[in-house]
Amino acid sequence: MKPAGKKPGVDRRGSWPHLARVFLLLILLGMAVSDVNGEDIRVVYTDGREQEKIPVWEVEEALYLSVNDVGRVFRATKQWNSETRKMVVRSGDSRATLTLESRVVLAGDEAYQLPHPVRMRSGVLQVPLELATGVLPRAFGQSADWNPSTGTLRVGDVGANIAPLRFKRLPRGVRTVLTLSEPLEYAMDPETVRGFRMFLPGAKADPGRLSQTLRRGIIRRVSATSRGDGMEILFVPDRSDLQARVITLKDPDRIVVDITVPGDLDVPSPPLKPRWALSPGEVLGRDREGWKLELVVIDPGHGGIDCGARGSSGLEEKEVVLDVAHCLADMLEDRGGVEVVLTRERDEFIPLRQRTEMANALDADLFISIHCNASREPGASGFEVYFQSLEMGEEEEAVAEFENAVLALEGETHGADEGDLPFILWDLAQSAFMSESSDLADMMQASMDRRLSTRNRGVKQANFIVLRGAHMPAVLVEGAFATNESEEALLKSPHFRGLLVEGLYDGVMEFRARYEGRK
Amino acid sequence: MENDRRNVVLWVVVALIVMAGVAAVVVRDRTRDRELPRQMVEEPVAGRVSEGVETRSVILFFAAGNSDGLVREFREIIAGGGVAAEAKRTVIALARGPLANGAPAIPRETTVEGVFLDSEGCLYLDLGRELRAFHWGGVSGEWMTISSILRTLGASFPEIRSVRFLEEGHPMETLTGHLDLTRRLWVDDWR
Repeated sequence: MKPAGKKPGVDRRGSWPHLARVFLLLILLGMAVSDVNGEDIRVVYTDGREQEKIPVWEVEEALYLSVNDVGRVFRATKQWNSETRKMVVRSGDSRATLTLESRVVLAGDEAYQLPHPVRMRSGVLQVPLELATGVLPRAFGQSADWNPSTGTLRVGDVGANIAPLRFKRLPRGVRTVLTLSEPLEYAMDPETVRGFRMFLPGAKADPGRLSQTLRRGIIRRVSATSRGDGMEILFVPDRSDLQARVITLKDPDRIVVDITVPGDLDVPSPPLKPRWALSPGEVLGRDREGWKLELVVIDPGHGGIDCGARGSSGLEEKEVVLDVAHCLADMLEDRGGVEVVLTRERDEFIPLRQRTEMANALDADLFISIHCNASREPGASGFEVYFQSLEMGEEEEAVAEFENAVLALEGETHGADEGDLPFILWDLAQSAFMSESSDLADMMQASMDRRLSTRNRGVKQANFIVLRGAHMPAVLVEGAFATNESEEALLKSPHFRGLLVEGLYDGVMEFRARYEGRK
Repeated sequence: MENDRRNVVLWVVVALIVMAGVAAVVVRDRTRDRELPRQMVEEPVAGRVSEGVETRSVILFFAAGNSDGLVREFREIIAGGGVAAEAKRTVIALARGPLANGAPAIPRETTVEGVFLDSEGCLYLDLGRELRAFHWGGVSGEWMTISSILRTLGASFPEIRSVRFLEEGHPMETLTGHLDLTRRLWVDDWR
């Protein structure tokens, strides 16, 4: 006997399966009348652009691409005229005219016939694949090679099997990457008077495209020349005591050439010698009686007119980090027996360069810059520790760029005077602390992870103005996001700040345990 | 009978939700246009054909959710004037924000005062003070802004090999006190 007044359950829920069926029907109907989105095709460029995937629409037997994507591939402009229903696609002085719902493409004196008509969907002109693989390359005098089995379109200098060279700075030199469209052998000569010479049998490329004057790091120029059945690439450095290392990589095929300074860096002494401006070995602590943690400089980020990040309820980064820095300083002094100096004791603005200069002048053993993170995305959350990534060998360039530079916030002018030069040169010394800074960052991140329940965003590297020129292991800590509502609330709480301080303290102590006494 | 009534009510609710969604999108787009400074409304919207305007397709990189990376979006900008002029329009489009996924990585108020491409492929990008004034700060926020600009310019303009940031004609030292902008930034390093 069922309770009175209640309908059987199957009747009560009957409307939902019915609705679901209707929705399913609508979805199926929608799929039937729309085009099928085919697989993307891969476009590989030989002009240095990153390769990309572009979508394909499969309409019955035909493959269509968006005219916008095709235009981008050939770096062409487009102009639509709704009265004539024509679109002019232009590259340099060459132009091709497409007509909506027509197969004919007019280019110069030629008329090309596409296998399928141009069409329009959702306000976007769609063109048959053959426009990109055959018609436009011919009309624009460009090369394109379509491989249907791999779905790859190579655009540009398709006869070449080396793409334009790419360069990356290394802590001690410059990395050159040769991206190949097929595996190639190489032979690298030892350093000659002119530089490092690499010969690649079977290599094909426009020498002009590969040759470059760099003004970048220790490599001054790369020049390529065609030699017999291959190409020769000469790396011309701006100093003679360099070493080259070559490795090959797959998927895609690459030859990577690292040209670096061997051994310890030869850091020139600055013209004016402060206490820390000793020989490189002395600066790196390598010829002292082992490293000992005696003095830590803690840098509470921002301050004064620079409030740093702000939370939605008014929390200011400069206040939080000052409090955290004071608490960490107390803990390091009381519990750790370490002397601590803060770059600012109160709410005041200290120019960024002065912060590391202070640590250098004090001959500090560690430099810790404390910050709160921020993002436009309110959901961004977590803690992270950074250490410096270096930009090496750009002294001349940097000096030139310092000319007439104005630090708007500080209201002072920096010329390329004698004071800048040692600062730039001493950047080089920092690479000696890269490994130690990385270890310190790892330890702090791990110890914070043990204390905090917020998201661990990991250890990262970036080129910071505030860590630049520090002659000791240096890290920048981002404790939490001020722009995240729940983390802003945490940052206000003494309990969370306490956990954060404990985490930072543990990291410093672990670092001390590992490094103290090392020579 | 009761089931029929419930069905009708459900259909009405579904229809209202759909209409509200469409209205929200329309209002958002219109609001976006209205809020923008005049300088920023000089490029056509999305990928639709634009009557009588010569356009070029570029790739824009916006912030992914939770500051975890970048998402790409294809956009049409007005063509012409050379690489520097097109790069300027591209940065303006970046500031305008995404039309699909992601979030702006540059404050919407940002203005581009000028651009200059030197013979070595270094683009001098002179931005208005609004960039720093309206920026949300933080290392993640700064990284996203710089990365978004470098990736965008590198993806569409192979002529641009590095970027030097200026603020109203003066070299920029840093955006909000973290990353070092005193030197040119190489496009390759941000890929």
